[in-house]
Amino acid sequence: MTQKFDAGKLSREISRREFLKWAGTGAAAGILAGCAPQAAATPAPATAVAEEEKIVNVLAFSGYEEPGMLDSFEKATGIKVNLKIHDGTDDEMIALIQTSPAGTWDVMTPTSAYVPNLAKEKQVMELNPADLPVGDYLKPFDKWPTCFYEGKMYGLLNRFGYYGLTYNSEQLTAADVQSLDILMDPKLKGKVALFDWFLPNMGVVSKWLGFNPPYRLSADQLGQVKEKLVQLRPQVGLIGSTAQTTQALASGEFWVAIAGEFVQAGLFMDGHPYLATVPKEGGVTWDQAVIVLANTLRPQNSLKFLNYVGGPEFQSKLAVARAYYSMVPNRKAAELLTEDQRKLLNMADLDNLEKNFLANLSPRERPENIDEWAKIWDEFKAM
Amino acid sequence: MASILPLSAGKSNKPQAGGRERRIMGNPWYGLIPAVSYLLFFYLIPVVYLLSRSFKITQGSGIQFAPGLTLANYIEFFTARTNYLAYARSMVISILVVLFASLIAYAVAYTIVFIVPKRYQQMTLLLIIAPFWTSFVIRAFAWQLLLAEAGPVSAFLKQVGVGSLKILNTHVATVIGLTVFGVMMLTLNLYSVMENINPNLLAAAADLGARRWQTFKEVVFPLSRPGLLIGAALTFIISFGDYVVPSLLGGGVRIVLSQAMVGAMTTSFNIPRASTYAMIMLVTILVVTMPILRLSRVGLNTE
Repeated sequence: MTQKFDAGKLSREISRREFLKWAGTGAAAGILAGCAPQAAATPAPATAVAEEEKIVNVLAFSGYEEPGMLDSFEKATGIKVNLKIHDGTDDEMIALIQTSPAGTWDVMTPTSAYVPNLAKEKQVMELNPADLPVGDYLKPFDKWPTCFYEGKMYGLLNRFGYYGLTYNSEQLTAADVQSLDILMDPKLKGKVALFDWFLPNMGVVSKWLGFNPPYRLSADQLGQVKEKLVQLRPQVGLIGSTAQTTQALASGEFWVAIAGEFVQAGLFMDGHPYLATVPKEGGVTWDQAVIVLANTLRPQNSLKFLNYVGGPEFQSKLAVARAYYSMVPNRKAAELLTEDQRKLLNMADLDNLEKNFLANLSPRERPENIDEWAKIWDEFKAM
Repeated sequence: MASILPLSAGKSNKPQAGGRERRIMGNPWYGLIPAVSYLLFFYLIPVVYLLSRSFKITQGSGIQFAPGLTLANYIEFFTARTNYLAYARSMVISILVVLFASLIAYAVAYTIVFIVPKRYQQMTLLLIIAPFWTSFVIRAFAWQLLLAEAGPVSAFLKQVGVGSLKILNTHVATVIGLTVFGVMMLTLNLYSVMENINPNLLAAAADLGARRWQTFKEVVFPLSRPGLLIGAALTFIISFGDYVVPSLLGGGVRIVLSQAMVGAMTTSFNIPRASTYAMIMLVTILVVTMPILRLSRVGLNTE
């Protein structure tokens, strides 16, 4: 395992999935549902054959397993998808690349921040943009920096979301949340909730201070991020999991969180007055990219699969997956969503989305000095 | 936790009793093998591992350690104000929990044993410990609902005129959550010792003219003290080391020592730093609970 364990991310991913799964079904019963094992097919043992076997072995985060997601791909291509849902972290997913025999996995869906390093270590197959539906992609996802390494493409962005401000629209107006400065407002004392995962929060604070790209900071700049966090500290009443944060907002005790659609959409669907926005200082993204492993035995099948999951049909289903809602990069997917879904996911006006919304988001990266970032976060929590 | 149960099997072997059969069956000490290997594998080896890791620092990805031993982690711990804060919070919360839980559990156990009619005793005890049947985590979630601003506790406080109090996401909620657990733990311990108090002793005290209070002070309390002390020690251990309740009810800001330890793993994947926290926690628990357990044994011997 060359990557560092990034369990904060894990807890965010898991708890988000858990939470959104039970949020729909209602409190107590739902907690149990969140713990229920995921339906997952075990991949068939791979055997090396000259001609590609009509299978593709996929390890994905949840959403892919839901009914009807992969049917039309299997029908059209005759390729059977051996799907396993990954319940762990990105780091664990990447550890599987390194520890599994060739052909065990063909396709995976890690956070794109991991792609450049995987490319550097020659663990992933290079992709040709001409083979893939990136022409239909929203800017800047057609050339998403973390999907590239030394100018070559290694990952296809699959879904994304953002960390901006999720706010109670009965307590705060759209004008209030135009700037991150609202977080310091005396009326929000103790009413700010944060996720216990340092990278997105600190990335947003970094953008607040005007640092762009937000994850490549000098020691002095990182010191300023720390200072800003210290100032923010009295405003923060909760640092918890996704479920805790969402619940805290739903209860009305907290009014604002550094979060985006993955919290807001669920709250909104449940009738809570929550909206989300990217303030003028900007925000950071979360995302998942599809990659083909360098040791795949089925590169052709894998490419067909990438084309399918980057295509409008699958993308539109993934956007409103029961596991959790997310935004998707394929413009054509938006046409297949209902009006309400488009609105909820900020995808009603795609040109506006590109120009005013996405342009203000930075990809979540892994900073070089990640330990120092983590340490500042730990101190912030203990204050 | 196994370490605090006295390993009395060895002591109670009386060589003179049935010595011949024993010799035929083999060395009686062999009987200790399961217990000793259990302690060795599940307790001693992990502790030694943790101890050794706490003198290392990470290198590269966090899974490898730099060569050589260092006190850097301990120096780091004892020089950061945030660590003192986390430690102090853990200590204060645990002491409060032990105090509250002891008071409540004592009253509860006393009521069950000496006031509730014999035939309802089992049932009452069952009701008291019923929350044990659900998972610790689920219970913490349930308390979230109870303590929320829109929850029943807050509504009650408003009704009685205390006004709206913010309880959830503060350590007041942590203390409440852990006290509930401590009460169950202590009640069980106290019940078992109080139930074994010979009723003749109470009758004798009454015969000798002791008033209720005197009987309690001279007979019931001294005899129940071991249960109280052991229960208090267990409650302290759980409260000091627990991560779930402070996280789910305490709100994650103003973290306690156990949260700092988990944070060292989840945010930084720093095994040595987490090990250092674990060792400091372990030493604290030993220093606090050993005298208590010693006292409880004194109580037993004077019986």
